[in-house]
Amino acid sequence: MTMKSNDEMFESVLARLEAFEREKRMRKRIILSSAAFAVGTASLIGIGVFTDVMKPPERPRESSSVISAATTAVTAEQRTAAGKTAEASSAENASSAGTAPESDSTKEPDTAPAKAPETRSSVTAVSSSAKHTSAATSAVTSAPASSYAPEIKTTAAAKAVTSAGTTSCAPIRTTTAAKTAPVTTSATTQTRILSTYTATLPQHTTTGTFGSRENDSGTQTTASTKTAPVTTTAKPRDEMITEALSSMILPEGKYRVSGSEWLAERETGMPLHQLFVKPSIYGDKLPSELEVFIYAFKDIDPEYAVAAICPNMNNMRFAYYVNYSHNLDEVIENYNKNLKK
Amino acid sequence: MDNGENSYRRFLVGDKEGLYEIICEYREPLILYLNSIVQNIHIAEELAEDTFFELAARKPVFSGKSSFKTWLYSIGFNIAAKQFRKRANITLVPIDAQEILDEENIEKNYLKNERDRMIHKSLHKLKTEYRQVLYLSFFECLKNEETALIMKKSKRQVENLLYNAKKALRAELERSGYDYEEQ
Repeated sequence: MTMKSNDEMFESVLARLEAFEREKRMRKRIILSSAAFAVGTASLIGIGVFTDVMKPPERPRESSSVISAATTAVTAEQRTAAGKTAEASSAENASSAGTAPESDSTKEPDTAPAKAPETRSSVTAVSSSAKHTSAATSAVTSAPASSYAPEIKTTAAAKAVTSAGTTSCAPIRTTTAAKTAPVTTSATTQTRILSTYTATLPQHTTTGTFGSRENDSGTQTTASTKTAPVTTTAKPRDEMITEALSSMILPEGKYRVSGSEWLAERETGMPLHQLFVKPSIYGDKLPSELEVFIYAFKDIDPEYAVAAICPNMNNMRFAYYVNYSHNLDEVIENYNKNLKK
Repeated sequence: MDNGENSYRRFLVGDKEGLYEIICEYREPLILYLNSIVQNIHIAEELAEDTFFELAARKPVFSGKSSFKTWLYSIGFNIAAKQFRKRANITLVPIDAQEILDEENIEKNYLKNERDRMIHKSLHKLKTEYRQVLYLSFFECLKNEETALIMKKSKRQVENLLYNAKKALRAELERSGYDYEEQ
């Protein structure tokens, strides 16, 4: 091994220096690339964090039950709207043809009576136009051939309605004949009827819709002045009930029932039958307005009054109202006693 | 002669000839100096090359507080000390004939005087510090301050070291039959 000369050592140093410079550049490049990668990663992370920070907080997902409930609500809303539309059209048709809109008499009334499009057309509607229109346009529903209240001679209502409408706001007069009107319904039947009565009526009925109801088979029978089975009762009673009905049609708000949307929206009074639609709303107690209203009929024979106001309504419930009592059992008992007499 | 200072500044500017001039001027004495430390001419040569490479690659700043030679030798000393630390557990192989030949060649090239070559050979039998201080004082003609800078000792330490080294060298020269006359 010989010693290096000056030139050899110089070349050796230059070679090492070049390798060193190359390695230095490579290391610098690696550092730069690493730094760039780190900066890029940090930027991405920063952007992600910034995005997360700026992103509004997510709303909690609605559960399927909520969604289904909302869907159900929307469906019910649509159904209500459709029902209203159909009701309106049906009501228009009924006012001209004397028919009531088709409805289901077997279903329970909706929990929201104000929006319930379904009506119990078996209950005759007394419209505000009844006082202005002729009696002929007021449809009178024939006596129910259904399973409930067969004994009630509701045909008297037809007579009453056929002569109604000629006067408005007539005072209610009590006659002897009205008081002595025959009542043939048995107590057991009344009880059964009371338990099965679940009628509801259209909310915004502005035209007279007497005469639409359903029988047991579900087919709708339309009563008109021609077909209404007006048979037995005396005319003074009819006039009396007609006057009573006419007296129902009072200026706006007079007979409104507090807390009841479907009554509060009335413009020109309200059909009496709507007051009986949902006793469940009030329980065994009636609103004060309703009580006052009913009190006007207290001297009228319940049978006739019921027949005139609501043919499907049973006497016992009406008597309950008329007697201005909150004890339904007592009313029934008293009423049955009266029947026996 | 600027002892390589200008050459180094030219090298820092980018002139590689400056590095070449430094190598030509300091290669042999640096090898001999490093050889006085490591007592292996080839290792000393490697250390000398490492010193020049350190000078070229790192480009340390020469402040001018000492001569360029002293500064360069101190760099060589640091590199040699680092190598010594690395090779602490390594036993150096005995000097073979080739190494002796190479060393003699360098001595002939650098030490023109026969007397100096005789003394340089006698240094191998002394301690390492004695060799260093004697080499730097006698052959490189450095002052005690410069020697202290290179050896990282104080001036007083270098003076004591130099005194003891001369005594040891005298004894060694007398033992070898050389008539030593203190100058």
